[in-house]
Amino acid sequence: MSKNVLVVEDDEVIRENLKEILEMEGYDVSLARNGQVALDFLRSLSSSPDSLPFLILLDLNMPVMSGPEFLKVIKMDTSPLANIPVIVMTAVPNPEVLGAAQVLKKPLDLDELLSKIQNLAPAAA
Amino acid sequence: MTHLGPEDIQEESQLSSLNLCQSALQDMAEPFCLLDSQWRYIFANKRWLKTVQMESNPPTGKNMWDVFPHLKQTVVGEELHRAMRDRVQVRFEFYSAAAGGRWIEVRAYPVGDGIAYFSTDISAQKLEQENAKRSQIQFDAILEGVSSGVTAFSAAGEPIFINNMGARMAGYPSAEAYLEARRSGKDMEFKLFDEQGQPIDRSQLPSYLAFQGEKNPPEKIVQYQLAGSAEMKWSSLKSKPVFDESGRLQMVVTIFTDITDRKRAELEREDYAKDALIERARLEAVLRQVESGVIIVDAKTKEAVFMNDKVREIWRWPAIPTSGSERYSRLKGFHLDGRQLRAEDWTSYRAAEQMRAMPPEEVEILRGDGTRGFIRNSADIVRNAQGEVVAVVVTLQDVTEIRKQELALRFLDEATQILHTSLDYNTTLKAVAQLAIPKLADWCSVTIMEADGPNQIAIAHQDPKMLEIAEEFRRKYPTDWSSEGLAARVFRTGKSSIVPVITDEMLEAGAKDPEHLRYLRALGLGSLIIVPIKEREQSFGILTLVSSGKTGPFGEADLKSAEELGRRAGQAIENARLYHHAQNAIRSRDTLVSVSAHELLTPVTGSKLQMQLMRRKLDQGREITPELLRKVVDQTERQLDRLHRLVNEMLDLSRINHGKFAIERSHVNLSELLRDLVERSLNQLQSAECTVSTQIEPDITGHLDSYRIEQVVSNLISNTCRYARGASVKVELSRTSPDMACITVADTGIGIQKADQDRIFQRFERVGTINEGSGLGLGLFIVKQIVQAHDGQVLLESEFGKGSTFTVTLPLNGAKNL
Repeated sequence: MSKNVLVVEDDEVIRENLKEILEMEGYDVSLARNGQVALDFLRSLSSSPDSLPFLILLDLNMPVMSGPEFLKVIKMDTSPLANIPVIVMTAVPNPEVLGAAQVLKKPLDLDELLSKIQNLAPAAA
Repeated sequence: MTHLGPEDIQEESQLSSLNLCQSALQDMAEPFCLLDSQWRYIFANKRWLKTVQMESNPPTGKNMWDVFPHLKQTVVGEELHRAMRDRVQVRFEFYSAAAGGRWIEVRAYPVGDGIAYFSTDISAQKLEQENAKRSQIQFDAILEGVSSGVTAFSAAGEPIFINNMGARMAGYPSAEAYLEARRSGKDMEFKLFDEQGQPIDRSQLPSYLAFQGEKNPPEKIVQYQLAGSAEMKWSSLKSKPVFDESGRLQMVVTIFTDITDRKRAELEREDYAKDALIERARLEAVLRQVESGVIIVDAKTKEAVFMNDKVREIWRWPAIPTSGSERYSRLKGFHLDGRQLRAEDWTSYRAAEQMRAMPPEEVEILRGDGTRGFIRNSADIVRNAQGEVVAVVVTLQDVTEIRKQELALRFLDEATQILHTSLDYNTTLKAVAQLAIPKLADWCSVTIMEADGPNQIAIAHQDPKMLEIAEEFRRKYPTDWSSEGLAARVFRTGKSSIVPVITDEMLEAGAKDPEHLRYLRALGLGSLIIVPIKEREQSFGILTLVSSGKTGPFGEADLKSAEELGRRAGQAIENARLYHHAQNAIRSRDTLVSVSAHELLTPVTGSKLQMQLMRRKLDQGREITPELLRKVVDQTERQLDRLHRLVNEMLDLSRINHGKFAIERSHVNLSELLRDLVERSLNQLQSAECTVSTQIEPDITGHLDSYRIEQVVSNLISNTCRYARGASVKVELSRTSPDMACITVADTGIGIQKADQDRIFQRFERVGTINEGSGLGLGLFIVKQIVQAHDGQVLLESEFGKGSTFTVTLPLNGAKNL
């Protein structure tokens, strides 16, 4: 399993800063600005499952393909994609979460986020 | 003259004259006898002998006082002695008990030295005299006893008689006083008047006429006033002339009777009669005007002896029967439970039978014109002086309208309750229409104007077959809502309409073709009401009530009820609409809150992450290079700008919602404004990987709100950056007419689906889900508001997959504010 985390977020500032923070923590970070880009990226990796990220940080409100739409697609996927844990990041007060493992409210509590990531990271397992 | 004894007479019987005399004396009808100076009987005729009952034993030669010793001391003795002694003729009467209680009149004459006497039985005359005397006394008593005055005046005008009553009536204490006054010429005058109180001419008095010889003068009623008295008295005068056998006027008897009391009573009676007439006239005037019908029924015959016009009006029957039997058999009444009234059930009948008043009772009636109504009947009885019930007074009140109103009110109550049960007016109005039949109408239908046109949401009739006919009719002849038809007009004008009686001629005139007419006839349209269903001048639809006519034509009261129902239905619809509106508003607010929170939190989240990253770097002692610091400052500023823009959008929305969105015009160089704005947007466009080109016609100026126009273009560019990432964007400005500018922002992005093109200008409308892109979704809504405030237009041309073009046309010198 890689040390790779996929961040799916349309807001550039959030996306870039998350990348820098996670990299400082020693994770590899891939970025996607919406669900569609993320899905394309994941499918491009399907031939080498080992390179798949161990975690997806998913924003809900995004253009082109939103978080819930993305979730729906990968949860229905028969490939190992469906098993990648997802942490949803949202500013919506009471989001309808579809099969997501965890929910984090925006603005993000960085300590909480890092601890959740750490719990899911293969090194910790 | 020779003294002749009985013997002598016999002796000288040959002497014919003597015999003749003797024979005459003998046969004379009067008792007769001769006495000599010695009181001896010398002759007695047969009559005398018979009178003294001595026919068989004549006293000839005997002394009279020996024969009748008891007479010597009586008037007989005295008078006969006087005749004998004084030689005079005597005449006397005496009562002879010895002769069987008879009155004898004796006449004696001296004859020779004796006397002759005749004795005559005058018992009969005596009795007559006695009777006459008694009659006189009785007559006097009667005259005194009668209550009338009686006078008798001689032919010469002298008073012969007056009774005490007469004297008193003439003002004297007694008859004597009157006669005395009369004799002395001091009698009192009194004034006489005729019945009408006019001075009377005495020649008209019956006494005057009697003196004139009129045998039977008519009775005369006079008024008189005694001297010195103010009192006017009444008297009847009756006079009769009395004639003697030869026909000469003897006297005039006048009877005058004081009839003052009777006359006064009569006058009073006349007054009473006059009062009674006035009373009756008054009563009739009242009866003519009262709102109730009044019938006076003879208690025995049940005949209506009086009936005011109101009765005929209430019954709508000008020739309503007055005869009891006919009336009770022909009037059709029903108890409120529907049973028909029998003759003995009518209030008047029962009142007469049971001889007591009847409390008000309400019955339904079948009027003369075939319609039905409600009356309230009550009866009271009239008794005569003997306490017998002679009449029944029945009053009837037309309570049809009250009944109808009660019915209508009850109906409105129930309808309102139904309308309140739910906000789903489709269901509630169906129930209301059903409730209206058959009490209020035979047909009830409700048509509501909905977004996709008129919708008959309810139609009710008791007979399912009729509903089928109505449905067929509606399919074949749908209502033309733009026509001048009644229904269309009511909806358009919001004014209700009533046709109390629909005649067949009206159907014929209104029918489009024979089939149409057949339908119209089949539907049973007798009377029609169409009212708007409206609330505060907004018409939602119409309510139609149709009566077949059996329950009578619709009237003003029905119209009012229907209008009220229309109002309440309108309220119900308005309530439902307001409720949905409120629900939408709440949803919109919730959306705004949710969207706003999300949008505001996004830059906050970004900035916070950046700050946390910086803190970590500081904590870990990493170097903060000037380049890094600049990047952080730039990003933070952008995030703050974004927050600022979002807050402004929210404020604009609030202004628009409260109608406080205003533009402030000033002289603006639109060309420069646009060029600067594109310049400032280059960063944003680059971030969205967009390429931009401009074609801006120089020196286009106008009287515009520069801040708001900048907002329009800025929003359009932001929108493009958000939805047309990586596209090429073209911003153009041109003058389409001397006073009209045109701004276009075109992109080569994914475009917008046709179905979404209108929606995107509404508030909180974003293409796709709420999750797409950023911003409040107010950008285009605000654009439209601003452009409209400038009297301009914003148009979108787009083809999905090929890009979008937003075109804003702006009058350059408009002055209208939003």
